[in-house]
Amino acid sequence: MMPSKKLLVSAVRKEQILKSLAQGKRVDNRGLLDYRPLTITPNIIDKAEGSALVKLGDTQVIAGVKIGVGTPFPDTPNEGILIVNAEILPTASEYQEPGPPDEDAIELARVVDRGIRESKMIDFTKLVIEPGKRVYTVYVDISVIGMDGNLFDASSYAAVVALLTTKYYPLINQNGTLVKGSEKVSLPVQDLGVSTTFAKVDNYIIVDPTWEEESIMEARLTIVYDKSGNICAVQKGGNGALLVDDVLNIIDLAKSKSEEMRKVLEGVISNA
Amino acid sequence: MSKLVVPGEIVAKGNFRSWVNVLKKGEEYLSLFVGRAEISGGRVRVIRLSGPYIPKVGDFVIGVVTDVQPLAATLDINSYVNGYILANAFFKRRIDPSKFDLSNKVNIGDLVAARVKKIERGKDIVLQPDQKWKVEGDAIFYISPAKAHYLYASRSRIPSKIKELTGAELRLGANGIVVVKGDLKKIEMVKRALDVIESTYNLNGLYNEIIKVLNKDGKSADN
Repeated sequence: MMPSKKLLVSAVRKEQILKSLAQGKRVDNRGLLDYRPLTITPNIIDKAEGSALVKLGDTQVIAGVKIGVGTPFPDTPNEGILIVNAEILPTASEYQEPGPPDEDAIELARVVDRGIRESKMIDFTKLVIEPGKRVYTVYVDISVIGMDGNLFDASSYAAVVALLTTKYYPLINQNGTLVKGSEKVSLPVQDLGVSTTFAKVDNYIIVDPTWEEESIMEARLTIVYDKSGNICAVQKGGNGALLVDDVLNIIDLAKSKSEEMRKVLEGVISNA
Repeated sequence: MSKLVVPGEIVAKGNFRSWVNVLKKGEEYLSLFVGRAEISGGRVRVIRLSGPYIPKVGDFVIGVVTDVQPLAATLDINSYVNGYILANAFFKRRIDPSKFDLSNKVNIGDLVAARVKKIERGKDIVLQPDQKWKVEGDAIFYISPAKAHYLYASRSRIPSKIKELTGAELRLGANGIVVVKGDLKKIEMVKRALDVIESTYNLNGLYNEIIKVLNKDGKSADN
């Protein structure tokens, strides 16, 4: 078996990144609070009910949505089901190994899931076919095909756009039997959770960290805001700690950044 | 005559004396890489423009130390395999690991310049440290290994010209890692020259293009 590899930023590169941050810019000439160029292509997969390709710098993520029918969970008999899976493909980076999803991929799926679920983006009570018996199951499959940091935001945007562009044939109860409806319908969307990710690198707070920046950061914080400006999901990563002031600062920054990104996402949806 | 080709594309038909980076199938020569095809003087070749670094014995590479064990250091050389350097090679003699500590020589995160000594399929490749193996600098840049290899292998005048026009110290590895030593202005100029290399596919006019960009940079900086 080929020996595995891991990303390690050299001491020279780390020094270069820190010097650059001290001058108020990143090594790729971005400002500390600038996102990389973002392009979103909705409906990229014909055979999925909804899909999107997101390119955030060199990070690339595809999300696909499939609608199935399942049995509701016993504690939520009158709600549809959301299942989010994420996979970082071996072709995404030379450092990624083939095999089942590792803990990074599992964390990624959970954070995206939490953002969708807790922002109440989809009204799951409207995804019930027969109360307590049959409900729609919304499967969101996320595949990372290019890995250059900030997978959380890229995956979240891909999943959100895929859900917002989803169209499926509803099942209609006709005399006790379920038949496929004649016209496609959209998911009952009622909100839009927007994720923003910040990293703390040597006392500097930066948004949309690249992979190199993530590998030298102290800590990372992902915050999802809903339409009304409420925080609906938070995820902290990295081995280091964040000061209370850092967290408060990031919360403020995330609010303005999420509004910025919300306009981008809404623009994509309106043109889809 | 040159044109851009993709893998599998027919580069030429007929009989040629030599061919590089192409597969001969009957009378057809198919490209193995994305690159620029050149057909002249009875030979056909494709100059790779993208793809990972493929090590060759004798290549000069720059790697990042990712692990230090008593008997060897492992390096990330921006390729599909790691490289490793035996402790003996650093000390230039056979050593007793109980008496000599390799971590006194190299540490994780250090940059090391070395030559590819031995390649075995499915294993890490063996490297021989350069005379000046410790690489120090103020900035590190990555260019496409395919282009770096071409510049390096053809003993191009480009690296020395960049050094001359920017005043920066430069170490270029065939694996696409460029380490620059100099102040911020020099680093910016080198970056601009490297951007020219990255953005062009036609390597023929590259030398003059870089001179043009750097001369313009020098003048605008002076003003």
